[in-house]
Amino acid sequence: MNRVAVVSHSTTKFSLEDIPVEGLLVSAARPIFENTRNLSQNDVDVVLVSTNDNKKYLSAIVSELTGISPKISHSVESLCNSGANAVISAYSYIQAGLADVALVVGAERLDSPGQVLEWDVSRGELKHPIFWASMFAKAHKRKFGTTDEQLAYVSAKNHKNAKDNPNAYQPKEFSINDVMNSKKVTDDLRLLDCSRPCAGSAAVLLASEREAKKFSDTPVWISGVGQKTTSASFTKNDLTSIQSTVDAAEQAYRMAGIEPAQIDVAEVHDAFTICELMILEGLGIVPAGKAANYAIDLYNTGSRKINPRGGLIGSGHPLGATGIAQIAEIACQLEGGALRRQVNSAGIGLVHNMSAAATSSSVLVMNP
Amino acid sequence: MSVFETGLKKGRFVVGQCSKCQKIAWPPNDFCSGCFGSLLWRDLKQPGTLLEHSQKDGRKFCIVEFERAVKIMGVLIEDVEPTIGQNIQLANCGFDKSPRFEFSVVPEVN
Repeated sequence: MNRVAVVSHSTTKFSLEDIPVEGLLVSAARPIFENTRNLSQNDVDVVLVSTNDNKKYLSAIVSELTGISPKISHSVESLCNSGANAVISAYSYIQAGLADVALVVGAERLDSPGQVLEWDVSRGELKHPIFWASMFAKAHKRKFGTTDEQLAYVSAKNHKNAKDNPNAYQPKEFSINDVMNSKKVTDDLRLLDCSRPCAGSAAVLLASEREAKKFSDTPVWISGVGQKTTSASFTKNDLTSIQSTVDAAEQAYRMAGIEPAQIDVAEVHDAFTICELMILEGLGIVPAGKAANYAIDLYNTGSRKINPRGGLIGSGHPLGATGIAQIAEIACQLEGGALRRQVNSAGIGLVHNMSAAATSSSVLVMNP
Repeated sequence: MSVFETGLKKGRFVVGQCSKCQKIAWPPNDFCSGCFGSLLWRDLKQPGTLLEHSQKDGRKFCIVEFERAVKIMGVLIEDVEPTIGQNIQLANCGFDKSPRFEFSVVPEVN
């Protein structure tokens, strides 16, 4: 089987700036060429763009603006999960032998049309994500006794981690009290329980085993991949577990030949604090109902194992860039280059990216 | 416009039931997603069951399941504290850019 590695990555500063999506995309692609040894435009076989932006033909535009004439070039849209989907698509092209080198670039503007899934009639007029997230939070509280204070630990932990992430939208620490005293958006979630949409971009360069060492002495291999879409309607979910994550993780673990206990560092899709708890349980990192106390332990011990760059809550959530920024962070951790965010002796990393009220999930297992 | 949306605009919540396998097509569809059979449209059977609820800006919102197949989110129009599993009525529905569902609690009969 052709192995595939992440050999270079970049993430731009997330912000609320009004920048055209083309500008966001190329601002993440340019550092890949500036910082990767031996890389020229002629090496790149595949250019994929991950975004929910309505503009057309963006992969060809990015290719032209960066001087690449790729064999394969297209956009990938799958709401918040677009980034991981695009990387897995590029992985598949290389793994199948259709390409050796792929550039995957993701970006989103603040006014992204991907923040609300209009199609989902089962949500009625309650389209904003806060409504489904509140249903998850209330049901988790009811079943497992999860408290608002436990949720606050997730937010405080991720904001604390983001303080050492120079690309985070707002690298600022918040105490448990700050989170608990933030505006109550619903009875079950506060403002600081939520991630924030923003503008931003990220890119990764993937290479086949044959080419990887040309570009990096520290390639990070994608050793497991799993994906699952259970539906497109939020209300088809069970309210206390995320089946798409359970299924995607099972596939990725089987392919990588690992157990969840072996994971040293993970970026997971904490769109809301409650999501991080349900994801950690779905990934099998903790048993069902145990993630809240686990998050408290991570906070109290200063562990950066989960969401070392601050996750979506700490870093901001530019939809099409998020999955790629997560993969860039785990690659950086496994290379040992995450500076103050570095998790010691990180040998196995995991990325979890999901969409549309947890109706689809992607999981990647990575190792040096 | 779909049969479902047309129904909502008239204040009726209609569901399509498969003429071959009897499965209810939800979310609304032009055919059965199980066997691709044709649908027969009829009114939703009341009441439903409360699955979960929360509150925003003084308005209670909830998920209610009907006929063990149709789960929808909407607003509770009464100022009561509902309980999980309670019988809930779809009191009003409509369509203005997106569907609108309003629920009321079914009084218990002793």
